[in-house]
Amino acid sequence: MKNRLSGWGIGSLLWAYLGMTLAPFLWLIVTSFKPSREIFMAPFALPDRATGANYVNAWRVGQLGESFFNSVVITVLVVLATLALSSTAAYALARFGLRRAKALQFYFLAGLMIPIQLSVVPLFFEMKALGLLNSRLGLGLVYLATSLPFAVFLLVGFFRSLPNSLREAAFLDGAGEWTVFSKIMLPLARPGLATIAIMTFLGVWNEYLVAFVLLGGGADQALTTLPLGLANLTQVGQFRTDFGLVFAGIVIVMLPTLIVYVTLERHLTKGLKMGANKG
Amino acid sequence: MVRRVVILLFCLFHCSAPASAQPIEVSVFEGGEGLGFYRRIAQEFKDMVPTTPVRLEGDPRIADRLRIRILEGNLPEVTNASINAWSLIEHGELLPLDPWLDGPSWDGSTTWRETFSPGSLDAFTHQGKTYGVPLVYVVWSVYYDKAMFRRHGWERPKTWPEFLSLCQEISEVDLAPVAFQGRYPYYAKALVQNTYYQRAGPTAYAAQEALEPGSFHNDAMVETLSWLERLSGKYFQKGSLGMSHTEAQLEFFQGRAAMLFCGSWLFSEMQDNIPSNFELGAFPLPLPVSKFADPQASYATSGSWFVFKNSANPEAGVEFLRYLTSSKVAGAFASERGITVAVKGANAALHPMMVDVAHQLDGVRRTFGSPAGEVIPGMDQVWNDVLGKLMAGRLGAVEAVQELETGSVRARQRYEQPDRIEVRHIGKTTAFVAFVLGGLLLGWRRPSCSRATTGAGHHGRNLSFLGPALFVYTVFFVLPSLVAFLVSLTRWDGLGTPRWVGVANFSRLLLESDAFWVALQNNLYLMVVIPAIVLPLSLLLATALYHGVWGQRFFRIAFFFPNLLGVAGILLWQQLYNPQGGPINAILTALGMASFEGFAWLSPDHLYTALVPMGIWGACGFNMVLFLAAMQSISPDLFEVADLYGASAWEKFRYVTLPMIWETLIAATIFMLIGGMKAFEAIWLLTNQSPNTETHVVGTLMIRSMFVEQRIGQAAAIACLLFATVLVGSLFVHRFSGGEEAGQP
Repeated sequence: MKNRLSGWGIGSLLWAYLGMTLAPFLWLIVTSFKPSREIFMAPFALPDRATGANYVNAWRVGQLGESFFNSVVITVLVVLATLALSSTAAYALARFGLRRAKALQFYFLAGLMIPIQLSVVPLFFEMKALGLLNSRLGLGLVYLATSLPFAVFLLVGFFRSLPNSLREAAFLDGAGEWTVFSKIMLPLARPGLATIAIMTFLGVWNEYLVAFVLLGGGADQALTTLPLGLANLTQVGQFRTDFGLVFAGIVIVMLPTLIVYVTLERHLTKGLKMGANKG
Repeated sequence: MVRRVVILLFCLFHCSAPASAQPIEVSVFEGGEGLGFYRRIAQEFKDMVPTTPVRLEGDPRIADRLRIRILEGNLPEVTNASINAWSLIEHGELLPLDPWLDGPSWDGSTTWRETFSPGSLDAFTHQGKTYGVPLVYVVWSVYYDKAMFRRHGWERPKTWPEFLSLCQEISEVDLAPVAFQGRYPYYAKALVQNTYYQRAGPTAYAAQEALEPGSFHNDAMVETLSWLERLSGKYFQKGSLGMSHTEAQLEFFQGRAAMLFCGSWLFSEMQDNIPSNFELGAFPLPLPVSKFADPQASYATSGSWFVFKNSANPEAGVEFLRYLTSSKVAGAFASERGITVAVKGANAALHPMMVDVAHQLDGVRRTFGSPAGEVIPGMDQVWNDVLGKLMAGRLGAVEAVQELETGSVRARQRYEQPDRIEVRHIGKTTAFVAFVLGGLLLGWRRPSCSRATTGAGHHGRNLSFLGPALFVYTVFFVLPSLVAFLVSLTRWDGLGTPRWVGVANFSRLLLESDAFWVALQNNLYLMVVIPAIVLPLSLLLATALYHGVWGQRFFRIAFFFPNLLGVAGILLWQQLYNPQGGPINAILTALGMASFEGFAWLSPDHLYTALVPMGIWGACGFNMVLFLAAMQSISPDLFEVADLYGASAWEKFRYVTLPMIWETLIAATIFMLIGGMKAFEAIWLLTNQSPNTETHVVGTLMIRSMFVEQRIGQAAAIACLLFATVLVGSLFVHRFSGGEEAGQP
């Protein structure tokens, strides 16, 4: 249904909301090029001399390079692991006709209800006992565990919607279970996988609380993730009254997320559309 | 063969190399001045004692990090962070320094103990043993610009009445009399305690420190707080309650406020921001008119350095401290950093800008000050809350005194009788329990029998497909969550062994704790107010986009941006809300709403109002995209049929669109409710990682319990209550929306 709405009201509402959404970003970027002293003097003035010094400082002082590296490594590995584990598990639950399929599905679904805050306290001590505190591996495992519920939930729906005839035909041709899964079903589930990839990426990249608890509040600067690094940078910036640090830091942290999103947006929408169909 | 030789050589090399020196770790509070001085000292120390290199770690939030390290058992040798030393002393984690204190000082002229100013070692002396040594020795003063005072012919006041009338004079020339570091109410505590000491005398002061009954509830305290009330009500700079310490101090140095209360670290902290024509001056805190008033007594606090007994090399740590507090180093510190030190004679070298403070110290014969860290925990939060409310004008002096007294009584009771629970919230508790039970009864459904087909005989396959996911999920998510229930039934400080207390934590949280209910209320606010605006708005926007405005894809992408940002987004809004220089206040004042000039959006009074636009900005995009996707999957046939019946746009929406996207709507509502309950980052970061009692949400309260109060059992109990609320809330919404559980065909 695409009748052109000539009403000024709706159109201008959209543009107004768009303006309000994007204005803070604009302000952020412009201000990040002002020298620190000028920043809160006149919020809307353009910088006298645009300077990239804040970016250099933020990168150096906040050791954002390290945080960046850690965040990238952890996020990429967690996304890949989530895709691998959730797709196999979801496929099994959807297609193997297991007796306990419903119960297991509910088991995974329950994870959506559990706020991570519930597990954070014992997680700290569990990881301490396993020697996985202050380690990327430990953090990655926790992120993987918390990404699985949503991933499994979405993919079960996907796999259920794929026609069973394909699978049966493949068996008749002599294909094994794994071949059917990897060569036929998985490619068909691509929109769902893309959605999971993006949602997991977002969930992990921006995650703060668990990283804070398991990485010692960011004590070891070589071992922070970006959100931790940025929060710490803000504290340092405040204490040094160097607000330029803060602004540049925020932009540096935001940029990759925005770029990834713009690139993969199409898949997200498709995936969400299909997910909406299930519900 | 070659490989074996290489390995052999490698081993030989390693074995014969001299044992590499094990560095000692020094964890330093890094304020505005950076770590330069400490790095130099560390280098000098290493040059003198080559077997002990020093690894320096510095951060403004060093105390938080250290608390985690303590729980981990990963201890540095030495630190000056403001940790809860008393609990560590009780557990035997801190090294008593007396053997070294009674030994020679670094330059050998006297004992180490004798090198310290009288009284400066008292802060951490317990049962005859001393656990901390001070470098920094801070006095509080009122700072001002001498040039400004000269220009206006103002005189330095000595008493409170003189001080207030000076403030009046200053306000009449359109200048803010006092800049104040309002985001941290404890900046007023020194002022209050100094005034109380001078008004009521040393004995009364000591009683208040010990939280003795009636030590707050008296006329002297009422008078003391009235001075503060008058000052903050009329003479604090506008917006100061939302300003951080450096922001307020900047206002002072940039000439927009005439005076400032601060400790003698001020110069050091703000060194890079002092204009060249600024003549820093200081005078002692104003005295009340009283027979106890004693200009020779001063409020002073020492910064203490501690040594951890169970670190790798504590003796080397002590050596480092001996060097750090030697006259030479202390003198260099005073001269370069401009902070007063506790080492006798070293203040003679104090940086010239701080000459007034040096004079102030010269005239001091007696010092008093609150020992850092609390013997009886919990009172710091009470002070913070009460002072904050008093200065915001929400409490009068009399009520403030009452709240302080009540708070101190409760803190004392909890300390002396940890198992006693005072029942204060029986009604709310009953309602809560009824809510949870009701939800569980309504929402519980027996899992339906599944159609068992060809499950048998495929164990290997099942295991390989399902195994990994199940394992990781169970071990790293489900298991800890279950353990949380167990931990919530204990009392544990993370260091010793847990003690079983049954439901005591829950009783205390539900029946006794004011803080928990305030936090829950805040969560409810977030769960109701924000979705109430976001859901209709995003529905509206989605509808608009659905009807094919130009650039649909562009809008979709742009609207989703805020949702992507997490921490970065929150910090961005923190800058937007800056009282003096932020664009929001700038726009509002430009639009003519003068009351928004310097408006402190992030002060406790207004924080939750400030969260609303932020929440809308962050959540609308996601929901809009979700709704749009749902709308676009509605079959067009339905609309054609509606058209045939001559339905209006509204009717089409009401009878076609809405029912078809109903389940998505419900799912979105549930997500927002869960999000409101789980709120953490926003409040945590916007309050600079220290919310006060009225701004806490359940999530931040939990982290405070775990890392600040070190009450692990209580933290777990809070988490359980949070979980219960989320679960039951979702069950209710689900039941009363009549929808099928998503994902189950």
